[in-house]
Amino acid sequence: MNNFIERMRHALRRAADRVAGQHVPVQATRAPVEQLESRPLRPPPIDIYENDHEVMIVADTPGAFPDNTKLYWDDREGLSIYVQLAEEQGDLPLWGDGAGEDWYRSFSLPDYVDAYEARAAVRGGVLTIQIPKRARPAPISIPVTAH
Amino acid sequence: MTTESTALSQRQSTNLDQPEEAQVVSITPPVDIYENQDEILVVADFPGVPKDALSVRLDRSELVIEGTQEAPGAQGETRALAFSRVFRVPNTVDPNGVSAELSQGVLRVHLAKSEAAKPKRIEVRGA
Repeated sequence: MNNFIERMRHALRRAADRVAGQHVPVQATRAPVEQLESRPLRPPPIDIYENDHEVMIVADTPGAFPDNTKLYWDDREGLSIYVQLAEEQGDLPLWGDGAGEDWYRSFSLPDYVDAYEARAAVRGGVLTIQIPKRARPAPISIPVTAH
Repeated sequence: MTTESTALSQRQSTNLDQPEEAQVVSITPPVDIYENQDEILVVADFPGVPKDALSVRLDRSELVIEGTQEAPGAQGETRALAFSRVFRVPNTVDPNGVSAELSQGVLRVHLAKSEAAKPKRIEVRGA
């Protein structure tokens, strides 16, 4: 019964995501860093929130939409965000701060979250990644006997 | 966003001792400027700013772009930001030919050049 409720909650959350923003899949592979290094990259500002159920990462990645946003998860390398922006008019800017550069940032995650179950959505250039926490095993009481 | 996440953000906000107004941080958004023979294009990052919270105005020779993020949350790198930037615009720009669009948190302002400022091809006649 508990499993059923949990599955329903999961389905409802996914439905809520679709309304709130466009869903971005998380790929279970390391980021192709060698390919990315050939392009100018900048790290997006991020905030990380945590509650009893999940860790939530909010990143400002203007220009991101589901098709140009890639999320990679690898046990060793951690979680990576990559957004490839289209070149404006196919030319270099006359003057600029690098507003057209790609977004890239990677970070490690604590071992108590389940990155394979992560859900991500992008809306208005803001990427939100929600990573559920694993259920922790109940503490075991070890009886001490006296001899 | 799930209910839990919303509650999470709210909890973070209420943990702050500062008054609500003090949480809004004003920053200068990164901007790129492009030019071709027809227009000057200003591209600026406005993540999380809805169209209604965005203001673009041309005041004589100054272009002013301003916006505030939709969902101010806690302290941190991304939340509760107001963006503002001012540019001096050359007099070759036609004030009636200015348009702006917001897409995926990126604002594009098109400043069309006046006809007089566009390059002209001069026909050469034979004798």
